[in-house]
Amino acid sequence: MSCRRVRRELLDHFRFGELDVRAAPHLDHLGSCVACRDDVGLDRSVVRNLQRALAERIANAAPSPTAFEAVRRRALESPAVSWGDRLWRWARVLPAGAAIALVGFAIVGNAAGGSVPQAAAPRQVAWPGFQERAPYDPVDRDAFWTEGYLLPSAPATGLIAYADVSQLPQRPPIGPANKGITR
Amino acid sequence: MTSQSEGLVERIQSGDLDAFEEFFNTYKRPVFTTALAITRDPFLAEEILQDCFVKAYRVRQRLRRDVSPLPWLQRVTTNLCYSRIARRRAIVEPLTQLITNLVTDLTIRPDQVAESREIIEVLQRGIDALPPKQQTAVILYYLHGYSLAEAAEIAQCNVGTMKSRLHYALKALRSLLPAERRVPVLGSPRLNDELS
Repeated sequence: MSCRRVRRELLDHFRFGELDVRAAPHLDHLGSCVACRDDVGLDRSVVRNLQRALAERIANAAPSPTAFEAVRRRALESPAVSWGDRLWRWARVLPAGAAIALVGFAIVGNAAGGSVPQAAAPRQVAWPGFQERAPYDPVDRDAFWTEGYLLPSAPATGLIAYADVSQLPQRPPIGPANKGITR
Repeated sequence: MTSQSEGLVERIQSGDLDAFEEFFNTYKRPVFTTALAITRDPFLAEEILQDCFVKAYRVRQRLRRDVSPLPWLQRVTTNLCYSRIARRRAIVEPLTQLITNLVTDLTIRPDQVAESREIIEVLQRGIDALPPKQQTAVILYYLHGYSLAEAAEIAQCNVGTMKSRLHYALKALRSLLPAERRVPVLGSPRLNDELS
């Protein structure tokens, strides 16, 4: 058994309290090898002095008698929230918020899809006046319609028609004859 | 984990401040000694002790009732220590300089060397110079006397890693002693004797 192996294995046995019958050959070697004996002795000496050094660090030291009062006071204070904590809180809430929004959209979408199409209500737009829409086909209201911006005080002007010509049953009347427009 | 400490955590979680005081008194000593052993500064150790227990109170609802809170407290303590030390670590006197200064007083026999007062000081510096993980391992295993498994649990590593950290820490500390013995400093009486 080589000195190198004896030292490596025996040091582990000593250091971690694993000295048992398996260490018998190593101990035999120590009996006949001064260098290994010194090496193991030095290691044990280092450990012993390391323990002394560590014990010195904490000798006669104890927390102050008022330590708990300080802990109690600080523990009951509202904790200062760091930016990291704030971000973390938002990050935890985001998935729930996204889920709620998705459910909301789904409900609204279902409700809209299942209902009878209604004529679009006049919408207030930024430009002074109203945007209005007049369907020509009462059955398929989306096939052909007239839409435009109407001044509040003026007759319909600037009408724009959007239509799929192939679906038109007849040519729509043009010009002021547009009677379908409602306001 | 005793049923007593299990009940303590439960009572703290229900907002019982007396239970929190009992909890503090039960665990303050190991927490404080760990902080002091790492920082070597009683005032800083007390601050860390307070921080640790304030944190414990604030996260009390997350404390587990079925295991001892001590490993968690020790882990928080070591993390607090190293974050504080990193902020305020002074420039440490190079270890080799210290060894050089001490070498004249050292004797040749290892047992005599290791038992000298100066060797303790060298070891103190050596402990300070260890990487944090090795330092924690040494403090948990050789100061607190935790088993390898307990120390590994606190350090959140496996037993083999803990053994390895201890092995390298001791190797580093050991390396200081022969160096002192073998390399006398210029001007020391021993070297002068050898030169004459």
